[in-house]
Amino acid sequence: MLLRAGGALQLAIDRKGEEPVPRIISGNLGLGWVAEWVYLPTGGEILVILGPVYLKNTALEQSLQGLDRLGISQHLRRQFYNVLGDVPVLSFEMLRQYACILHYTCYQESCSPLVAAPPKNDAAEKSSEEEELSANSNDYQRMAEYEEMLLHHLAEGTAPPEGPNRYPGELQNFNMKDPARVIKDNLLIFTGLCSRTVIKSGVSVYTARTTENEWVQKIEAATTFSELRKLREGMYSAFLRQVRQQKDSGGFSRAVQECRGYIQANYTQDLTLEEIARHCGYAEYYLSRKFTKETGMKLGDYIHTVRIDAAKIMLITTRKEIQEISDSLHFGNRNHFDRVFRHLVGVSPAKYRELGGRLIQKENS
Amino acid sequence: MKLKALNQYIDFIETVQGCEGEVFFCSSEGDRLNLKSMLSQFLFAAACGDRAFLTEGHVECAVAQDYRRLEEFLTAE
Repeated sequence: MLLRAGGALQLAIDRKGEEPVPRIISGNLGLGWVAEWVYLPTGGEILVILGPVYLKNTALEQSLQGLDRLGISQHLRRQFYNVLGDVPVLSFEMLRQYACILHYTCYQESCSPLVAAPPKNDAAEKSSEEEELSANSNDYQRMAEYEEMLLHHLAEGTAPPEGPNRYPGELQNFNMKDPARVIKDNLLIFTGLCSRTVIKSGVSVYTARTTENEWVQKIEAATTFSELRKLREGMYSAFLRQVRQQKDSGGFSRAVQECRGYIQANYTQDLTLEEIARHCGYAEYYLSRKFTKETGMKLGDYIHTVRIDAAKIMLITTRKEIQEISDSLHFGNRNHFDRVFRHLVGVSPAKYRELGGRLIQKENS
Repeated sequence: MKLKALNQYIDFIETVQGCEGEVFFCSSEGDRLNLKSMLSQFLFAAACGDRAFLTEGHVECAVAQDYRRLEEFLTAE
């Protein structure tokens, strides 16, 4: 069950027919497995899987912290311990050694295991160090080209074509002590490149940098390879959305774009016209007039719109009290929040939560 | 809605993943597991071995149409 959940088993099955190399699969909750297809001399094949193991102590700790956050009962907590309590904790290097042992047992030859399920790699069949270096260099070049292509599409605001699901650092020499760190570093660099690209495409510096910082923190907090891959996709989509929004709002001046970006990034703070104007570097009166002229909306109304959009998400996805949501969005008091919400959405916050949001959207449409 | 005894846990979770809104399993002890969350899925799986856990709890869908999607796993109360 643990293996099937999160698609880890499917990942191993999909590699059937490829060259016999053990693969280290990381799943959710920091669990890991070693999987290898064994091709029998008599015909047929067997998928051998070792695991699960916790890849690091921190992954186990994070699972337990997750339980604390959920606030579950002791009964359920005990059941969870019964299932995962016996899962051993191994370092990545140790799991790598198990993968080598598995391969040697099956084929009587040494090998270098691959992580997750990277694209077919000719280097796996070569043995000399020189050839491996050369293959790695080719991989690096291919990935650099892939990265260039992604950045080009980002600058244009167009979706990149479906391509190999990989990113710089995914195919590297796994003899190094901490491969996760290398992948993270490469992903952080790619995040910086994406940020610079969207700034060149006209997205405000503040918005791009805020998004960059937000994703850097998420990447640093990631614990599994699958999580990192999802973050790479999420980060790229977030930047792509910004470029598209910027292109959609092509008529806005730089000042108004900066202003909108600042509000979107700080709607949970107590925003004042004075503070926004100071951040954007314009006089309050000038900015306020310019904003209304270009957007057809007063600055205060725009702040309300952004906050109510956030409130709608919180109402549906969290169990926070309405008063708490109102306070976190600086509405002053519950009545004011209710009034603004009703004005913009058409129903009260409580009704919106009761209907699950979607029904209202359907009615409106 | 109550859950039938689950013989095919994975099929159930995969169907939940296809639901439009959030799907919660509420246990008799007051636990409320969001079955779209991976950690909650593991918790749910860990507790599934206990038949009483399944039969005494119930499933809640944020979107009404999702009940229809899950009907093969649900039983009328």
